[in-house]
Amino acid sequence: MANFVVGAAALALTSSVILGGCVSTSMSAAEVRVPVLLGPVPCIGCAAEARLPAAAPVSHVANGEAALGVFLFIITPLAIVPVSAGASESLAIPPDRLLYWTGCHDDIHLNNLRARAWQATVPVFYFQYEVVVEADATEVLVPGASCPSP
Amino acid sequence: MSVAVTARLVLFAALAASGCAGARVNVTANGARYPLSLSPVVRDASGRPYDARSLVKVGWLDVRKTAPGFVYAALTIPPTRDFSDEINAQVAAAGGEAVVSLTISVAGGCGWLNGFPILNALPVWPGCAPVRLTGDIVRRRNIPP
Repeated sequence: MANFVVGAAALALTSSVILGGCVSTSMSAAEVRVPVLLGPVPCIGCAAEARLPAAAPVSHVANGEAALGVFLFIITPLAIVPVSAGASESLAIPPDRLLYWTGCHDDIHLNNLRARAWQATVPVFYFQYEVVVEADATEVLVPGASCPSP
Repeated sequence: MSVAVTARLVLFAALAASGCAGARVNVTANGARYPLSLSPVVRDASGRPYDARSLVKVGWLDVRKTAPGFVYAALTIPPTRDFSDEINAQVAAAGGEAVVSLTISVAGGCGWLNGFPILNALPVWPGCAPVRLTGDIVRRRNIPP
């Protein structure tokens, strides 16, 4: 019994650590065709300034991954074997999908950018890991803006 | 000791030792002196957009900061991490005018800390959130430095 408890504890530790260490997420906007700006400088050669927000409402964009798993115990004729089973899933709507159709005369400004990583464990039974990057996206008017050439 | 009693003890011990840890941090670049775009596009002062065809990559931005959290991720000290100084230094060193394809990542590098069984049941046990900003440092083609 002692060996089983030690084995299960070791499995709980290694599985939660390994799976938790593998979960990561990132936010980018590689498919969006207008600037998606972070920080106060809106353009090359410009000073930090605030532009007028467009009529479009603020959108919430995020990228996130969650992983969870349970520890199972397979009863064999020789011993009770601890194993683990887990799954991961995508949590949110990324900027590429939400902002793709932004008009080419506007820019997008990100505010309130947050990142979090969090993990919960119930030793020997359950673990969960969550990583999220999220922000509020606002369309801003760009005076004299032109569209990219095709 | 019977199997049932042992199972109850294991269950009680597991629940008593259950916990969580992590951190949540606000990411800012309020002091950045260059435009930072998560897309491959950035504009000049006239509103003209520049993309990969009209920009040349002169460097690679890579800034990492780790925010520690306590009390089951409810308290992060400090609650905001500003990346401006590192961004300004790297862009200036590369002779760039902007950063495009900026990516904000949270990696699992803190998994061992956030998920450490038993100890993460303690509110004083630290968690963390490792934040990394990467991107292409660029300048306009045919524009002399």
